[in-house]
Formats: sequence, C-alpha cells, structure tokens
Amino acid sequence: MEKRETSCQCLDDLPLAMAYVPMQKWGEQYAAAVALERGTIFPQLDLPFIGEEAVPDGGK
Amino acid sequence: MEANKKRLLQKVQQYEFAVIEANEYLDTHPDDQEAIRYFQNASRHLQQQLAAYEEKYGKIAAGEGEMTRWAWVDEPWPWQMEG
Repeated sequence: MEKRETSCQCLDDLPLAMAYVPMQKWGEQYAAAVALERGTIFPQLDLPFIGEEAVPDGGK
Repeated sequence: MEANKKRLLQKVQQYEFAVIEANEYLDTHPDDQEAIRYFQNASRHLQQQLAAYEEKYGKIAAGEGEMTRWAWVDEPWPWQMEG
C-alpha cells in the first residue's frame, strides 16, 4: 500500500487524540429562495446524510 | 391566502432568513468584509420586500400600525397556509 503523504506541516503541531473543527471561511452562497428551502445559505454546510451533493452545482 | 400576498410574504421570509444566516456567520467572523457586504445587500433586499408587502397588505408584524383591533388574528395562522 503506497504511503500517501497525508499529514501536512500545519497538522503536526496540533494536539493528538483531540477533535478539531476547522473555522468556516466565507464561500459560495445559495440564492435566498434555495437557502430557505435548504436551511442554510452555505452549500458547504448543507450536509444531509445522502452520500451525494444536496443541491446539484449549488442550485445555480 | 391570496397568491400575490403569499408570493410577497415568501420573499420577505427568504431574505429575512439570509440576513439571519449572515448575522450568525458575522458573530464569529466580525472582520469578514465579504460577509458584511452580503449582510448589507440582504438587508436592503429585505427592506424592499417588506415595503412591497406592507404597501399592499399592511403591517406584517403583530401589534404594528394603528390599533383599533388586534387584526393579527384575522390573518391565516402558519398552519392554515397551504403549502
């Protein structure tokens, strides 16, 4: 199994065995109508457990 | 509820939601200029949609406007609005 370089420098100084939630950055937004339906303006936070993109190509 | 009234109400709801979402994001990202611009833009849209609704159908919130009757009860309750 080839060794994939997974750890990058930035993670090395994080404490081990602790959960880590990255800070959200401002990204794309849904149109207002879509956002109200999806319950978020952020496609990046629209994460239903269905194993695929919630709204194809961000509802554009 | 009359179709046009419902349409205008839905617009108000959509922009109100976007404003709240941006507000929550800004609570943890107070210096994010893009988010601030988005918030201001969504707020402006909300005010426009609110004005359009209230111009035709009167005050949207309970208790606003001249008070001879608590007209709020004459409006359909949320669960009475068809889907």
